[in-house]
Amino acid sequence: MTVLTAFAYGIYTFGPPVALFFVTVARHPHEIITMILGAFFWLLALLFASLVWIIVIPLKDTPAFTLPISVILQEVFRWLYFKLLKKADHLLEIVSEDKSDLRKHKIAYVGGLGFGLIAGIVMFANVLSVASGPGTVRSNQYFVTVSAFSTQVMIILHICWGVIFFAGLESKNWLYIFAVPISHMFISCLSLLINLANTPAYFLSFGYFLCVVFVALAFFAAGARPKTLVDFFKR
Amino acid sequence: MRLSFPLTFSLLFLVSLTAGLETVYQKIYTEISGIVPCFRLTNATSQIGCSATPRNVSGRVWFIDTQSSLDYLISSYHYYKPYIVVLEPELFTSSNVLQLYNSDVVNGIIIRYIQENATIPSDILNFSPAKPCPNNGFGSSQCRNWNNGTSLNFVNFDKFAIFAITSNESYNSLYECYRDNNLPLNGAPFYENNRADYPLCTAELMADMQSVGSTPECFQRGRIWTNLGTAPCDPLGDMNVWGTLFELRQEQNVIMIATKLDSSAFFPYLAYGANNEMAGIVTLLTIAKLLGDMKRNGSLINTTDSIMFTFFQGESYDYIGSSRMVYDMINNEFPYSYDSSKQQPPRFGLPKIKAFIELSQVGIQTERETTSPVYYLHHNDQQSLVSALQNGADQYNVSFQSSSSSLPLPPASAQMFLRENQSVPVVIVTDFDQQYNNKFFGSRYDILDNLIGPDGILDSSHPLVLQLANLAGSIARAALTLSGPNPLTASLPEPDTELIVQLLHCFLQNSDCDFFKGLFSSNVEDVLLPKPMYRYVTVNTVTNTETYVAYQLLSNFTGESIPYTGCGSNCTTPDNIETYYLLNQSNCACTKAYTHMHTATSPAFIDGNYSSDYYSTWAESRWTSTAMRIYIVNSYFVEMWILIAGILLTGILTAVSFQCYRKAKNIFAISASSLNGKTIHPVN
Repeated sequence: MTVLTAFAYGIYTFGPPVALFFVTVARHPHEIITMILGAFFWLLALLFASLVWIIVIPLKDTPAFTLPISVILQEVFRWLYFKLLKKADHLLEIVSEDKSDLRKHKIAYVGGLGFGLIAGIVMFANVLSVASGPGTVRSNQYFVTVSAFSTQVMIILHICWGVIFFAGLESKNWLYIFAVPISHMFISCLSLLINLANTPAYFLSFGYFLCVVFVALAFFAAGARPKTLVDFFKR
Repeated sequence: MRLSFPLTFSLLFLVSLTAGLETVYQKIYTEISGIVPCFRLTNATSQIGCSATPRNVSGRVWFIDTQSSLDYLISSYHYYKPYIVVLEPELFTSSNVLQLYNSDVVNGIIIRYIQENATIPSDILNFSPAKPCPNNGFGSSQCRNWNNGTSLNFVNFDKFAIFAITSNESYNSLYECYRDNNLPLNGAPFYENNRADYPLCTAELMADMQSVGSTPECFQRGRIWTNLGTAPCDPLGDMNVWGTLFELRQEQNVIMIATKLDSSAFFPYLAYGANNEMAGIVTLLTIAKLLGDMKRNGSLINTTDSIMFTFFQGESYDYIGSSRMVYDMINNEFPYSYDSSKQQPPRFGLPKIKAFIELSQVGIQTERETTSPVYYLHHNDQQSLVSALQNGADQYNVSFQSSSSSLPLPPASAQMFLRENQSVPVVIVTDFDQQYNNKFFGSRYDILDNLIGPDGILDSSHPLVLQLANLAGSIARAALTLSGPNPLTASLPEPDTELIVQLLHCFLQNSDCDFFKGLFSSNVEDVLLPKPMYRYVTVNTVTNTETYVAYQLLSNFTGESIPYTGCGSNCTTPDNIETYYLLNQSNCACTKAYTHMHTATSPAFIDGNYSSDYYSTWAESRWTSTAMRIYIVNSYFVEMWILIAGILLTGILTAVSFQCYRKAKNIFAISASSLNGKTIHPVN
């Protein structure tokens, strides 16, 4: 493993969300602020989760306890983040040039990107730092590869969850509202099980399958339909 | 705990991949403990030893157990270079090591050496990495090839590391890493050109030496780089130990019986030197005990001339201790420079030395198990001295022979005395005549095995023990004769064979023995270890355990108990007295002995003449750490695909998101249609 390796995994994991950032967010200052705010809220969730981790001493080494707590806190803070944006909505509307309903979906998408990016960085940064070499993980030579893939799955899912969750709250759509925390909890807890089966391939397949489903759902929630998608291919 | 905190959350999903909450670092690297490094030493003109500076060296671990596989690895098997080669001990020969160093496929060498119960492997018949003429260039007489040595100890290994593994556990974990990863498929031998599969076991050796070039360069750096003047190296040195039986008087001449305390080896911390000069040290201590017993039981009241027992330190590195003693004698500063506020023993110089008897390699007879050993006397035409020794041997089953007269004197501390004054009467007692009997001189295999033979059992009836006892008795008698006043008529008591066994056992098998532990008043858990005591002189900033042990033993053997009441702190040397020492013993006895330590740092470092060719200039490089870790490396195959996939994915997503962004109002038409006044939500 070399610096090249770290670069390869870095590109693979963070290339897509960074591309999204530059294409869709970078040109709008208020959206950048919104995104950073989303990242901040995710970090707050992490902070509270770590407080729980510190306080509950006997369960420090039990991911089966800390993991669900962390997921619940992340979803709570996603909701708080929505509440905050709702309060600031009229201000955001003033600075935004887009006055359509699409604007709200875009805010949700930008927030999700913030959540996803920061979650990915915290998840993967220390793996990436040791991936620069020279050794590789003994017990599982695909440790870093699996880490990179899972991180990418989580980043994509966070973006979709942002869009779907906000759309659900906006329109009181309970299906959307519950789909997000349940799927989050599900995929997280599923990762605990690959310990036993030692089959990361299944986990990753399911993760990417979930990505496809939630990307589709997010597009749908944001107002895309099969017939409107045709416009994608028009010049 | 500090590490596991960020871990728990950063790896929320990934901790589960393997059991337990190790850090990622621990999942990758295994630190190998129990290693002894080869490190860098410098002298006036050159550097020797190993340095991996500026980087750590690493390579694929390859175990080599035959000469042919070693040759094959170097000549043809370059697929996975560079290598760290783990050699079977018998392959660690001078020519092999140099061949590996000079090939561009090897970055380091590891060999196994378990200190506890060490034996000489039966297929190693001789191994002497010392010089053919030890301390060449510093003696008073010309040099000849006394030793069948290869000078491997004096080779400079640059950007190369050589470690000895001294723990079975570490060796096994290294071997398992190799076996599980680097063996070609189906266990086929690599030397038939069978390729191994990635991932491969790799070792990284850290031996970061700060000194470079030579001792003058090192101290030059110290001046330039830091205002404090701290150089990246320290002079070798320690303390000489000497003592007299009775208080030294101004009018007395001196009969010196000397040997050296230190030894050398390729890995200095594996220098045990059983015949270089452990046998000599044991003999000298036995003489001290013998004469001390006579003093204590009243059969020896006083002597006309003084008998002085001397242990020189640092002799293996160009006579550090003896050259310093001679230097101080010439400057009228031996034993101490004059201080009117203190009670000091009289100062004396070279003319006062009436006889200089040196024990230099006395443990190996050509006929190993012989009970009537022959010792050779190398001397500068001192017939009276020779006959004194030969007369001394009358009572004992041992004979002294003058060495072949055409030969110069062998390398020994006496050379330093002769260099300044050719008329000092010198006799060097050895077990060899023209060539060292010691096949392992200056190596890590100069161990007890080398003295008592592979099947020998160390007890008081072993020929070696009897040889040393008789030698001690003979020299003790000769010394008494030489010191006067009266011709010796009475027989001496029998030398203590049990003492010899005990000393050999403690020095060469287990220094954590009760005998040694009793010499220390405080806790010595990390000072005395359950293995042989290494005898590398080390840098001059610390006093070696061995020096302290020799000092205490000599004090006990030559001293006598004095009236002492209470176990308080009264039994100490008064500040202003340097004539005798009072020892605070753990058994609450107080001993009065005329034993001293004398600085053994080369005179070259006194006036900063670092490029001296007259005095020893050896210095040891400073280093931050010597360590070793192993890990496995993968081929770049997977990583290359990840890189390509990453670039493709990023490119495609850029294009897709750009188009989506451009066409957003059309694609997300239902949301965007609220522009027309209708509020239609996607689902509801």
